[in-house]
This record gives sequence, C-alpha cells and structure tokens, in this order.
Amino acid sequence: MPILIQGSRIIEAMRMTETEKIMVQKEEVHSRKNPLADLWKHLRRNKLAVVGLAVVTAVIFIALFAPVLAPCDPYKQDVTKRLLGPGSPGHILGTDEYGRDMLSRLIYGARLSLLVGFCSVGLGLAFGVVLGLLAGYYPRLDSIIMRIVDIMLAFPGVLLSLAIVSALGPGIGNVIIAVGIWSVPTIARVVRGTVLSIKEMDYVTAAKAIGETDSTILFREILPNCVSSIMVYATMRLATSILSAATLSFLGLGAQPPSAEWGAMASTGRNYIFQAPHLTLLPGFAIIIIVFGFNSLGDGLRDALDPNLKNAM
Amino acid sequence: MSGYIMKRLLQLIPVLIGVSIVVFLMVYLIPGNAAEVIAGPTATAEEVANISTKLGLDQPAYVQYFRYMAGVLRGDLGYSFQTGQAVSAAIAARYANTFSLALFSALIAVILGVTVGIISAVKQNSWFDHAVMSISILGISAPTFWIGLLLIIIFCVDFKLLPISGLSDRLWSLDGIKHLILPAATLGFNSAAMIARMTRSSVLEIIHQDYIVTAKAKGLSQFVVIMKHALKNALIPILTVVGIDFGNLLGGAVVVESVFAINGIGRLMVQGIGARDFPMVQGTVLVVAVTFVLINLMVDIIYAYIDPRISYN
Repeated sequence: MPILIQGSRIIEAMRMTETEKIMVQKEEVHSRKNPLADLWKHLRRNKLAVVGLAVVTAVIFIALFAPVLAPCDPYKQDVTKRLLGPGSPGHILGTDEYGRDMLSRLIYGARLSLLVGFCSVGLGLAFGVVLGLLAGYYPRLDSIIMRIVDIMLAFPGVLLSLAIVSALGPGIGNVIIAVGIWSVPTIARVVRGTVLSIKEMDYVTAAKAIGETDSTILFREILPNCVSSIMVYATMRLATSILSAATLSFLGLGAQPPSAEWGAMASTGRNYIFQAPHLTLLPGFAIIIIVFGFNSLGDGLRDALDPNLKNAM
Repeated sequence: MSGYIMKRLLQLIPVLIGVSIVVFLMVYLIPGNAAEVIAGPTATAEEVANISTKLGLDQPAYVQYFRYMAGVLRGDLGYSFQTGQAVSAAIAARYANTFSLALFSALIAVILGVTVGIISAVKQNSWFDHAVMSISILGISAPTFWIGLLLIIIFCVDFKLLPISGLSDRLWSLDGIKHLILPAATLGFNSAAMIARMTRSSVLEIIHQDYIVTAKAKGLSQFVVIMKHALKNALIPILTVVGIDFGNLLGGAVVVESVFAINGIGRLMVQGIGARDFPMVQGTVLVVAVTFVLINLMVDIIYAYIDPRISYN
C-alpha cells in the first residue's frame, strides 16, 4: 500500500509543471516550519472548535480592554438606580443592588475569571508536569507518585479545593492555590501516560545510547513530545478551574465583595432573586460562555493534535 | 473473584491512610499558628498558649496525628469550636440527607441520561438529537449553583410549583420528594448530560455492528434490538460514567445544599469553613472522602461481576 501511494505521488509529480512543484514544496516547507498553521488546518474543520476559539479570543480581548470597553466604572455606586432591569436607559444589562452597572461588572469579571484560570492551571502544570515526567520515566518513583495522586483524587469534586481554602482562609489568591493544587494529580496522570508511551521510542533509546543525561532526555527529548497532550489538557482544565473558582466564590470562599467576580456576583444576586433575577442569571451566562469556549476548544485541539488522548482522558 | 476483592481491599488501606493524613494536615499546615487563628485576633498570648495545650498543638506532628487517628477509629472526630457539639453526632444527623440527595440525583441522571441518549442515537441528526446535544453542552458548562438558581426562578418564583428550600423530615414521602426534586435535578443535571452523551456515542458505536444488523434482519422490532441487544453491550462505558459520577455527586452536594438550604454534610462543611471551625471541617471532609473511596470500590467490584472481560489481576 505505501509503495502504491508513493507511486501515485511520483506520477502526480511528473504531471505537475515546475511552478506547481515549487508551490507544493513551499507549502510543505511552510507547514513543517509553522506547526501553528498545521494546527489551524486541522482545527478549522471542526466547527465547534472554531466557535470555541472565537469565544476564547473574544473573552481575552474583552478582559484586556476592559477599561476601554466597559461603559461605566464597575465599582461606582448610584443608589438612585438600584436593581434596574436589563434594557434600562444607560444600563443595557441593568444595575445591581448598589446601582452598579452590570455590563461593566461582567466585563471586568472576565479579567478575574481568566486570571484565576490561567494562574491556577499554570500552578497545576508546574507541579503536575514535573511529577508526571518523573513518574513516567523512573519506575521506582512511579508507585510513590501515583499513590500520592490516588490519595489526592480520593477527594470528590471541589472537596480538595475546599479543604485547602479552609486551611489557607478565603480570598482569590488562596482560591488560585487551591484550584491549582487540585489540578496537579490529573495533570500528572496525563503526562505520566504520555511519557510511558514515549520513553520506549527509538529516539529516546538513541539519546540514552549516546550518553545523554536523564535530565536532558526528560526535558529536551520527552517533554517537547508531551506538549500537545499538555496543551489539550490545560485548555480543558482552564474550563474546570474557572468553574471551580466561581463555585468557591459563590460559597463565599473566593473573591470577596465588592469584587466583580462572576461567582460572587451570582451569590449576592440570589438575595434579590424575586425582584431582580438578572443579577443571578447574567453572571451564570458569562461563566457558561467562557467554560463552553475552553471546553469546545479543548475538544477540538484534542481531535487535531492527539486523538488517542480521548481514551486516556 | 474473592482474590480480586481482597486485592482491592488491600489497595484501599494506603489510600485511606493518605486521606486521613491530608485531612490532618489541613489544620497542621495552617499558615502561622493554628491556635492563634482559633483564638482570634484579640486573644492574649496566654489564651493562645492555653488553646495550644488544650488541643495538643504543642506536641510533635506525629503524636498529634496518632492521637487524631486513635479518636477517628473510635468514632470520635472531636468537638465543634462553634457549638461544642460532637462532630460525629452532627455528621450522623445529616448524613442521610446528603446521601439521599446524591442517590436521588444519580437516579434522575441515569433515567434521564440513558433514555435521552438512546433516543438521540436512534434518531441521529434529528432535531431531537441536536437539541439534546446542545442542552448537554450547556449541562456540562453550567455551574451547578447557577442551574439550582435557574430552577428556583422557574419552578418556585415564576410557577410556584415546588418548595424553595430545605428537606422534609420524611424524605421518601410525597412531600419529601417534592422538596428533594429540585436539588436532585440540579445536582443530577450535569451527570445526566455526561451520561446522555456517553449513551449516545456507545449506542451509535454498537448499532452499526454486524450482530445488530443480523438481529434486524431476523425481523425483530427496533425496541427489542436496542433494549435487548445493543444496550447490553453499550452498558459498560455508561456504567463507568455513572460510577465515577456518583462519587462526584457527593462533592457537588456541598454546593447544592448551600443553594437550597439543606441541612446536609456539605452545608455543615461550608459553615465550618466560614467560622474556621476546624474539627467540623476535618470531620466532614474525612467522611465525604471515605464515602467516595468506598463507593468507587463498590463500583469496581460491580464492574468485575458485570463484565467478565475485566481482568482480576
């Protein structure tokens, strides 16, 4: 079969004009040099992933340019305009219990959500990747590290994060630490699985044969080949982390009032659920949009970069 | 089979010890001095020292741990700083509420998820299928607390059909189910979404196989083909999701109990965290984690019975 394919390529190449051949070569070189272009080629076939990418890009844009995009100061109170409904003049999404503009608070909320998401996943990656690499590469460390991972996974849902926040005390910084630590075991598992499949490959054996040190093999040979799995998992984990942080803030353990954090906003909004349900519903919609964006993008990245990961996860 | 069960029981021991160490460390690793945190900012040095001696916090870590474990094994989880009540008694009084909530949620999730998933697979690419898949994406991306608040707005505020909060004393009476239905639907929504997606993909995978074509060719009705032939084999991956999720429902109960003001372990935990009532937090976290580990053990053993392909080694 490969000979047939090669044969048909040769015949096709013979039919091409010189200009076409150069064009094809250029395209091949370009795609080899630019993995992002290659990734985009795969990703754009998946409509949901493209929507996810658009949502994530839009939210990042909104977060970066919040001071320009927000129509009002998100913390400016105006008691004469309390609990205005969506569509009110000057306040398209209404106001909250202190007369603060909901749209501006939601826009600024994107900053906090992304900050918590990126920082906690970054923290989880820093520890999870190293532990996963060590567990996958050194069989002796594997059983110890995996037992620790098992213990951490014995706490369902946000329970581990809750336990950590209870020790550290409420606050957005502590939520980042708690959600970050919660990500460590699952990231370590994914990386370990990838390392186990990579370390038996010929190029790793060759690196060992030429006498490269373990750290060089781990960080220069194995780690770059784990990047696609890590990227896929980190994107999905961003969704989970944002959701968990919002939940902790809703429970009063994360961002504290008057912070424009979506979970905290929904929490205070529930006191006005009869008069102004938009105070609860709008922050929820914002969370759904961003979580949907990262989940869809993560799904698309997985299908494009590493379809085998679907079974591993 | 008994060998497999023994092996799984033995594997449980290090995990349970690990869980108890993490729970113990929650207090031991509090930044600064735990006694100072407990005594409050206005306490004198003498008061802090008294608390430290009374709670044994001046002892070495291993002594404190063994003392804690000796208590746990006797069923003594300490006394609440807030109320002075025995933690084990407080948990025992609320355990049934949390467990019933998780069980009822799992029931809703399985019935809804499997039914909807099968119909989606059979009517692939129909409007029903598209609607189910879109709602399931919402279910996976939406925060549990938000689903709860949304259901409150719809069923309690707008239509006034169901009670807004609390649980009835008689859980399994008509009134009890009326109280339980919204919290359970909230908690089960996310799981139902996952189960529906998993059932759909499992059934889709199976219904194109030869033996299903043969069954259809024999003239069997679609109902019999799906229920008797397809679902049997599609059930294992579905059971995996159900098993994992039932444990997670216990973690999710923490949030749902806070939204619906249910006197369960989760609410006790969140109130304990807010009040820095460490024995209460330690006790509730330990009980939920141990329940989660035991449920996972049961699920593993059930799999081994159901699917003879699962290796006992």
